[in-house]
Amino acid sequence: MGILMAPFHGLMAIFQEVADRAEAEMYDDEAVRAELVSLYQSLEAGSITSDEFDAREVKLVERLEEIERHKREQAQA
Amino acid sequence: MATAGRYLYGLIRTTEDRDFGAVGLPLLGTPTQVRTVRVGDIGAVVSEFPLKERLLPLRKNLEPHNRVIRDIMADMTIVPMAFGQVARTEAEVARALRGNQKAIDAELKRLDGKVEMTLRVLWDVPNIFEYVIGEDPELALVRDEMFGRSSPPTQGEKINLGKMFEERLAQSRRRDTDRLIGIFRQFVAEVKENDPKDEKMVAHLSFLVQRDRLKAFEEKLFQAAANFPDAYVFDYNGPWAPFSFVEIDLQLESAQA
Repeated sequence: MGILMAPFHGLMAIFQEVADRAEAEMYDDEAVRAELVSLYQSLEAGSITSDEFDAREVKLVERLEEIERHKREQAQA
Repeated sequence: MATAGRYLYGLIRTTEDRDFGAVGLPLLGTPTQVRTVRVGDIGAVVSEFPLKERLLPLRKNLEPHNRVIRDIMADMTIVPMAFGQVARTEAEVARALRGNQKAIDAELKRLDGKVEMTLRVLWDVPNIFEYVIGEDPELALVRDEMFGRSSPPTQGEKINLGKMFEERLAQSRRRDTDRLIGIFRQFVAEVKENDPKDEKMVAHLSFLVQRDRLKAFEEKLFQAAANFPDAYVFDYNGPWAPFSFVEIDLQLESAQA
């Protein structure tokens, strides 16, 4: 018998659903994405504060942007 | 100074202008007013967004985007927009509504009373390679033959084994995905297959479900999970606004260049 996970409307679920569908190819970078996911988990588990989350999130997302820009430039070159 | 840019949440049917309150994406730390830009009986749900501001998919933006859509969805049908759509001006929003009136109308009808449920099915195993081999005597034989003899496997043999593994994995995904779609077909209006983003992901499906069929759908889900092998985990979420089923593209000039 398989295991059924109940629907979950926490932050993580919102992140998954909304970010998955954002037209942001930057989430294709798996390493950074995984880091972002673990950041969400830390916030949800209460092991970091909301402020800490925000600070680290901005850095990560900016890095994702940077990677995306780099990929775009390479594709054009 | 007034802000020209408009952030878009979704499209609704309304014969009057609506104000949903100060619940939008934050501007200088304060939630913006969410209201409609209306053309005839179609309203675009928007809030002000400064064009020179960079829009990043941060929690502070993703959350209000999701919340605005979810709250509206509780009362009426909304065609949700993907995160990140910004128009240069309110006039551009109105122009997009006028230019797409028929398509928007059709979309509102198609999605009326429906919600999206997502299902991710995963192999809950420590090592996916070992799991696949364990399920496949032919593959196990090739592997045992390669590693069981006195001479070490050649590079070519390893590549071949890797290819066989990938093929088996793809076959399993296909078979299980078809089985899942078959199970749910009669309970849903539409199904969409998303690419599995993880090696251990069997299937990632989005279902468009009529609200009054939700209970039947969930019952079927419980049953299906029980009928699949132990190694399968069913992770489902929803109801969401039908993000995956929106086909309309308003073709806003990309304000976020």
